[in-house]
This record gives sequence, structure tokens and C-alpha cells, in this order.
Amino acid sequence: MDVILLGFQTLVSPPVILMLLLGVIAGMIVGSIPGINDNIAFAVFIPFSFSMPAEQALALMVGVYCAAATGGAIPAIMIKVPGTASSLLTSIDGNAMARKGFGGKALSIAITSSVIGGVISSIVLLLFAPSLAKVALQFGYVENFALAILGLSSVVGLLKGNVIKGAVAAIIGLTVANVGFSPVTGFPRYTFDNVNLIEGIPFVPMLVGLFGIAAMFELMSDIFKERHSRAEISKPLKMGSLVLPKSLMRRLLPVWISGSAIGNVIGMLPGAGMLMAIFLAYDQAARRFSNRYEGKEGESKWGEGAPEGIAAPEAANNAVTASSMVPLLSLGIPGNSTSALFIGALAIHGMVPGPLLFSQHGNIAWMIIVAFLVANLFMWPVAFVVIKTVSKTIFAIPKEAMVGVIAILCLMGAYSDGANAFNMWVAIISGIVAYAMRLANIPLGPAILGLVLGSQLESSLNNSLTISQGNWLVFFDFSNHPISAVMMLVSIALWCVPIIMRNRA
Amino acid sequence: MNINSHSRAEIRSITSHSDTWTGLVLLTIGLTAAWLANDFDTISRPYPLALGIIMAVLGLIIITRVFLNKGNHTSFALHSKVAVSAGTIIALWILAMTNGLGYIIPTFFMEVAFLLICGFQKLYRAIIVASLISGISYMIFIVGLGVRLPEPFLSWLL
Repeated sequence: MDVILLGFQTLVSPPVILMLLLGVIAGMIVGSIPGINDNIAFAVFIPFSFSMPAEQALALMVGVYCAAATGGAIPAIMIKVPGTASSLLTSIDGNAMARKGFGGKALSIAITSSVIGGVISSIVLLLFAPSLAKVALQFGYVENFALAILGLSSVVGLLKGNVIKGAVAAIIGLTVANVGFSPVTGFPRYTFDNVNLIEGIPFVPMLVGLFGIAAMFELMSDIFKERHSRAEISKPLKMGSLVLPKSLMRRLLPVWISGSAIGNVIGMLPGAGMLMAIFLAYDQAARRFSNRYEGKEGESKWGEGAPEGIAAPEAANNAVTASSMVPLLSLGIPGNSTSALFIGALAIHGMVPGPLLFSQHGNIAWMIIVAFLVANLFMWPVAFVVIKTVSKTIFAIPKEAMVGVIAILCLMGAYSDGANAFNMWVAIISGIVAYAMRLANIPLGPAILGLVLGSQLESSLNNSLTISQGNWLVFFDFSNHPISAVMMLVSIALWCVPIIMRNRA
Repeated sequence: MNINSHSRAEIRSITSHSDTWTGLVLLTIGLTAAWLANDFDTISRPYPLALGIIMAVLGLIIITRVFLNKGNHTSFALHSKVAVSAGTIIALWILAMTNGLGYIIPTFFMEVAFLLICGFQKLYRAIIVASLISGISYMIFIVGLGVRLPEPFLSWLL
């Protein structure tokens, strides 16, 4: 309880709470710009956090992270263009409802669902992250190696498509993590006598490139495709009342709970991602709707304005935001790609996520956790103000102008990290590599995890083998290292099950 | 004759397959990484060497899958156009800024280029939008956040 109070004390100082509020407002506005996904929103705000004290910077980033996912629902409902990938499914029933003149109601459902999902997942984060971190503090080299393998395996294993390409992505990440001094002997590897590479490839510019620049390329290719197909974006619809009837709230309560539960479970799995959560929650809500309401008088069909079709994905996507921080803050393994960017935000201020964060920077770790809860509470009034005031202006911003804006924000963001032009080259090359990987169907998630875990994996492997005198079976030793053995077996299962299932199918 | 043209078509479909190129790139990078790792000291060598070899093997597997007709083909035509044009614009911007042209001029031209490439029809509108983006970003990064830029060759250049 004392530690939670410590987090609150750090958060409630005026500049910190102001930054959190500013982050929520900015995240909401940026998230509601069509074409800007939550990764870009986060990547472009990292530079703003350079010059701030750690508490203020991280409060800003938490605000942006939470609100960007919610902001994406606004254009999804009003113009059927999801602001973020997480609001992909919201656009189906949300826009259908808006077309019937109930845009305000659809927006209210989306915002309320997001807030509920976010608050529940913040509580999960509050309960789970510190306990998991306590367990992780007892890990030795052997367990740390097994944990890194489990983290990588869970990402590759959860990939629906090609396991081989998932493995390729992980190997790319691990190889890039080798650049710089060896963590074991200090020998410079793959540096090509370039002083900028001695400590490895600069992490923040690389993340800005992998997410921001690559997303800018994608936005450009979307614009090119739209120009060829001459697709037109519909104009914003009339909003109508924003009031949510009590009867509808009662009806949606089970959907909010199930959507939040799905989002929380999926969010805690490294690499499972937001999309998996929203699809599962949407599917669950569809079943409930068809059993209880479909065909009844006055009810829309599924996909044509069903309130459950908005509530479920929105509750799930915001539940993922905080719960994906559970593995990151406690174990140092990002739950999804955006939470991987959080590592960059922490790294700027000299912090490393993982169990030691709670012992070395306890006030910051608890502040982050409490900030997630408060950010979600801020989000409710802020969303309504944004909808009533700036959303129409936001929809008027041409996509074409956003390409240059994203480019300049990302490049200057990369440059600001040490005022070094080399960082801009890192950002652009990383962007091109990420874009090429996406085109080749090589997922980015395992590569990010490989980058993050690379150094830990190598040093814990070396130390484990030194301690065990070169015995590779130490990782499967049930009597001395049972946690490691279980984690290794789970890892093997995560690799084998998809292959076996695919072969059977 | 028929067999010849059939096998030629098959070879063409394999060489034009995106997974063939993906596999080849991985094979090359993996082998290069493994070769470079040979120069590392004995303790730092095995881990990157193993990763390089695994990458090369995975590249080979991807190529083999194309031969077995299991690969996924993606057309790179439009995307390479995007990457080359955007990459060139950004590279020129970096070179201009780091070689003493200041911030405003390179940024203005970069923004105009992006707007025109992305389909802005009227030049005067592109100029207005580019000026706004350049000015606002200058205020945010250089004035507001105090980011230090490389020295311009003329002192009055912003």
C-alpha cells in the first residue's frame, strides 16, 4: 500500500500530472488523425521527452499510449477510417450506427468501453506486475536465459502465419543486438571501426525508424494505392446526442467485462498483440448478440450498428494497453510493439525495464503503474471535449500532408538523441528494413524482442554454461532449476504445436 | 520444345518470386555475419557465429519452400517506388542539413517534395503547407526544445 502511495505522491506533483493530462489530450488528438497509428503517435512523442525530468516524460508517454488507442475510434465511427489499427472493427458497427444518426451514441459507447477496459487493465497491472517482478528478482543466469527463450518463443509460437519467418525475425533482432561491445568480453563486434556503433546501434533512433519511418512509407503506399483506385473517403456524419441510456449500459456491462478480460489475458502474453484481442472480443460479443438480440424488433443486424460490436473491441483494445506493461515492467519483455517503444522512453532516462526497475527506481515504476489508472480516468472527459471541439478540424487534415509531418517528427526525434546526424541515418535505414520485412511477411514483433533480449540472452547463456561447466542440460535440470526447465519445455511446446497443428490441417 | 518453354517459365516464376529474394538476402547476410564473426575473440565468437549460420540456414529453407511451391509471393513494385522516392528525399534532406544549409530551407523543400509526390495538385498550396510545417517544426524543436543543429555555412541561415 505504501508503494502505491509513493506512486501517487510522485504523480500528483503539478508538473507531472499536467504532463499526463497533456499526454492524454495529445494522444487523443493524434490517435484520431486517420493514418496515424498508436506506434507513430508514441514514436513522435519520444523526442519531446528528452529534455524533461524522467517523471514528467514518462507521465507524458503513458498519457499518449493510453489515449492514442481510444482516439482511433473517433474517425473509425465518423468517417469509417480507423485512426489506429486497434479500432479496425469499431468502424464496422460504429459507422453503421453513425449512418443511422446515432454517431454520438456510438462515440459514447466507444469511449466508455475504452475507459472501462483501461481501468480494469490498470488494476491488473497494479496487482500483477510487482508480484511477478518479485518472483523474477530471484531468477539466476539459468532462469534468465530460459525466460528470454520463452519470451522469443511465445512471440514466434503465437504467430498465425509462418513460424519460419517468425524465427527469421527473431534471429535478425538477435544479430543486430550483437553490434557493439560483447557483453561478456568487451570485444567490439560488427562495428566496422565506427565510433557511433561501439555501444551498439542507437536504440531510440532505431525504434523511431522501425515504427515511425516504416509507417510513413506505408502511409505513402496507401496514398498511392488510393490514387490508383480513386477511392473516396466519406465526409463526417452528423453526431447526434452523446447521452448513453442506462438500459444500454446495463446491457453492455457483460460485454465490457468479457472484452476487458480477453484484452487483459492477451495483453500479458508477449507479442500476442492488440489485434488478436479485439478479434477474440468481437467474436465473443457476436455470439452473445446473436443469442440474445438478433432478430428482435428494433435491433440492428450484427455488423449494421450493434452496440456490442463497438463495446467489445474498444474494451479489449484499451485493456491491452496497461496489461501489456505487465511483462514489460516485471520481466523486461514487451507485451506488444508499442510497449516495446516504452523501453526506448525508459532508456532515454537511464532506466531498464524488468525486476530491478522496482528496486532501483521504485517511485518511477509505481508512478507509471498509477499513471495508467489516472490516464484512463482523464480519458473520459478529454475524449468528449476532443469530439466536441477539434475532431472536425482533424478530419480535414489531408493525408498527404501527414507524410511530411511524420517524416520531420521522426527524423528530428532521432537526431535529438545526442544531436548526432548518424542517428538520422540509423532511423531511415531501420525504416527501410522494417518496411521490407513487412513486405516479405517477416513480422516485426519477434525482431524487436530479439533486439531487446539479445544481450541478456548471450550473457546469461555464457554465465550459465560457465557455472555448469559447459553442461547444456542445465536449462532442463528439474532438481536445481525447475523454473528454467518448465519455461524451456513451454518454449519447445510453443514452437512445436503450431507446426504439428499445421501439418495435421 | 514444350518442355523447354515450360521449364523456362518455371525458372522465371522462381527467380521472380519475392521469397526467393528474401531467402537470398538472408543467406547472404547470414553468411557475411558468420564470416565476420570468425575474427572475433574465442569467447565472443560462438554466439554471433551461430546466429549467422542459423540465419543462412533459414534463408535456404525459405528458398527451398519456393521450389516446393510453398512460399508467399508479394509484389515489390509499388513499394520499392515508395521506399526509393521517400528514402532519396530524406537522404537529401539529411545531407543538406548536415552540410550547412540550415534547417528551414532543406525542410521546406523536403515537405514540398513529399506533398507533390503524394498528389497535391496545386503548387501554391504545397508551398503554403510546407512553409507552415517547416516554421512550426522549427519553433518546436529548435526554439522550444533547444535541439542543436549543425552549424550553417551562412550565419543568418535558420
